[in-house]
Amino acid sequence: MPTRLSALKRALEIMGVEVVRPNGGSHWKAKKDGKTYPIAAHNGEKSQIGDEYLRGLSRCFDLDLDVLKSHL
Amino acid sequence: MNTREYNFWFVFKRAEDVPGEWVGHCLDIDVVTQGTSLEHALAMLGEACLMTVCDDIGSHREPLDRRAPQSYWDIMYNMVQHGRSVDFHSLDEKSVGFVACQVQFKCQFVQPSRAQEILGQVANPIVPLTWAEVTSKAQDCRC
Repeated sequence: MPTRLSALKRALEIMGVEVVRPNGGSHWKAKKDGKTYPIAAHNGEKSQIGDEYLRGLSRCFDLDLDVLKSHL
Repeated sequence: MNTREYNFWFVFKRAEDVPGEWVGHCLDIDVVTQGTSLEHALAMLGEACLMTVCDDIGSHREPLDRRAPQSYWDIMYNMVQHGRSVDFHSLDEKSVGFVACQVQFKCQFVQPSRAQEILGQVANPIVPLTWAEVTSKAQDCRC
C-alpha cells in the first residue's frame, strides 16, 4: 500500500530521521547523522509514496523496513 | 567552481502500488524517486541525484559509496542483455514496463561564502544508451 508523505514524515521523525522542506524543486530531504536522502514530493504532503521508495530509504539510513511501516 | 562528471545507471519501472506512477532508481548512488510519467521520472531522478551528490560533497562523503545492492545491478544487466536498444525520448511509455538507461551528468558546484550548503546544477544531462522491454516481457526481468 502506498503511503502519504505526511505519514512518512511522522514515521521518520519517530525513528530519529529529520525531514526538511525544500527551498525549491520537487524533493523534500530526509537527514540523519549528516547523511541525506531525497523524498519525492511533487504533490506536496499528499504525495503517494510506494514500497520501492521505502526500501531505498531504509537502505540509506539502515532502518528496519518493517518497523518503519509499523509507524505509517 | 568545481565540476564533476558522472555516468549513472538509471532504471525505471511502473510503480506496483501507486497507480500511474513510475519509479526511478539510480543504481550508482542508490537513490529512488517517482514521477507521473517516464519523462517526469527521469527529471525527478536527475533532481534527486543532484541533491544527493551536492549534499555528499558538502559533507565530505563520496556519493559513489552509496552503490545499490548487487541484486538491482543484476536486474539491470539482464535488461541490457535481453532488452531492445531504443531512443529514450521517443519511447511510447504505454508499450514498456521496464527501462534501463545510462545518463551522463556534468555537475557544477558552487559553495557561497559562509554557506554550508553547496549549490549545484546539471549541465547537459544526456541519455545516450537506453534499453526497454515491452510490458509483457518486462515481468520476466524482475528477479
